[in-house]
Amino acid sequence: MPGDTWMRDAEKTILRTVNELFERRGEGTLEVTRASRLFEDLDLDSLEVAELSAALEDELGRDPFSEGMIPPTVGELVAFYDA
Amino acid sequence: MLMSVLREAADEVPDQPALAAVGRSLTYEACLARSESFASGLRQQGIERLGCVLDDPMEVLPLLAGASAAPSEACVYPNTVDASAVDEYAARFQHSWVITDRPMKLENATAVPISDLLADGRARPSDDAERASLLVLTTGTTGHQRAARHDWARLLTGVAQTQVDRVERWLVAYNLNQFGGLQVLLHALATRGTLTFARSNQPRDVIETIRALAVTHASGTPTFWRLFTAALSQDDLQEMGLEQITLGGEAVSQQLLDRLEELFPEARICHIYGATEFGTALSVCDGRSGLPISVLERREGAKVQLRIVDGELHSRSSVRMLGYHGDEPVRDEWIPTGDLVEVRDDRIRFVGRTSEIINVGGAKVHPLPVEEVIAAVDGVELARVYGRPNPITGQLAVAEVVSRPEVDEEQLEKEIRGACEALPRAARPRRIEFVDEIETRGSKLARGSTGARG
Repeated sequence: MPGDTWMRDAEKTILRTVNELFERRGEGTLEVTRASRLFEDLDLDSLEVAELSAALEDELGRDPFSEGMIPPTVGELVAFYDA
Repeated sequence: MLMSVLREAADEVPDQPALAAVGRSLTYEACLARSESFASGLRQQGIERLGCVLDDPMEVLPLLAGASAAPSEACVYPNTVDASAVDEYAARFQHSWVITDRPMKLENATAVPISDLLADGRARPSDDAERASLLVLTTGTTGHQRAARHDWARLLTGVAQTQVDRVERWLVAYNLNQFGGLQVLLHALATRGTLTFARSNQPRDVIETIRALAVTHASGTPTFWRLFTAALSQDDLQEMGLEQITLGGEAVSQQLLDRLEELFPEARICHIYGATEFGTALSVCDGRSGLPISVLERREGAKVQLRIVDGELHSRSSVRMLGYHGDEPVRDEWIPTGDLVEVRDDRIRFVGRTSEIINVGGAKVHPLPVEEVIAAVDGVELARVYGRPNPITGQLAVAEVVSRPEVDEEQLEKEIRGACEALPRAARPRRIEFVDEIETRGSKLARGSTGARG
């Protein structure tokens, strides 16, 4: 299904962006899964979420934060692109 | 007014070129004759206020001088705009006449071919000419530009009357609608120099003109000079005899001053702090960026006094504009310049403009220091930092970067991010976009936040 491919692309982009944020923190890599919670598990702060929002907008054309949503987990972030 | 200055110069050095471009020039005497003819033509046609759009920059001085004597209030429009923008300017500044050397048809004004203004007879100075004024456009996007009304007599007192022992050949890498360009024109005239023009302000055209006309003095914005240094070849350097380099219209970085010093060790390098609204405050030639704090000690009677109020420079100027077109006249009082500064090491350093502050989740980020950090990274040609709207933090600092040819951009981005680690977190650009060129207006980086894409 084409939707499936698209979602996998979105997931890849999301995981890559989150990993880049970690790399730049200099705290090594962290295992990011669909179940990871953005704030509690991944400990993203507002600047990092702001960057994630801008990155997703640039690379995927739209992002949930700009549309007023705050997905709590990576999985829900990915699901946004399936809608 | 301008015509009297031109007349004095033509009396002293009639045969010396006042204006020159590659392959042609106009002597002071010929320039005066043309100006007087324009003055007669403007009077005969009853043109009291005019806009002009001239592709040939050598027509600007004669027309401005003619207008000052008619008297007629002139306003030079940028010659980079098309007919619809000219129409917009004419409507906004209430110009019924637009003098031009282009074939042009306008809706809001009558387009007058400049050749139609050439009238016989030498105009005698009119009594009204003492009150002659000029409109100067501020840099900004079309539709948001304002026009500062200046009084010719006051404007001319702001020009330093320095004695020079030989002819200075000035190259003006501004458009003449800009206050910076006008200042160079007036300086060249006051010192009986020759004002030279390149075909465009593209670095390559300017370099060719400097070489061909043996230009000794050149003036442009820091953005212009940055692009100029990037375009220079060894061959160019050997063929150039620049004695003075002047920068103005934007804040100058230490890095650019050092680079110019390295390329032109013989030249005097000066940066000018001034603005369309308050005139030229000072010229700094000590090789350091920022202003010496001693400028704050200027007493009443100085042409331009400066002081710092809540981190912003305020000016009080006797060579200020009369006021914006369509606005109240400005009084003799302290006025905020919009330039934000910090004092460090006995130096006033520019950090940005009040209108450019990026608010990242409540943290104020000034773009200039960030741009300087990025521009210092090897492989970066030009950088612009601005605020991008963001749903989480309100705005986010982001950067546009022009890389030097054949630079690996992925690697460069890593290096830029590394260099920005020295900045507070909110100031680090969160997106770095590599672009072919950065938008400029009048050879200055186009400023202000831009909307989100889409």
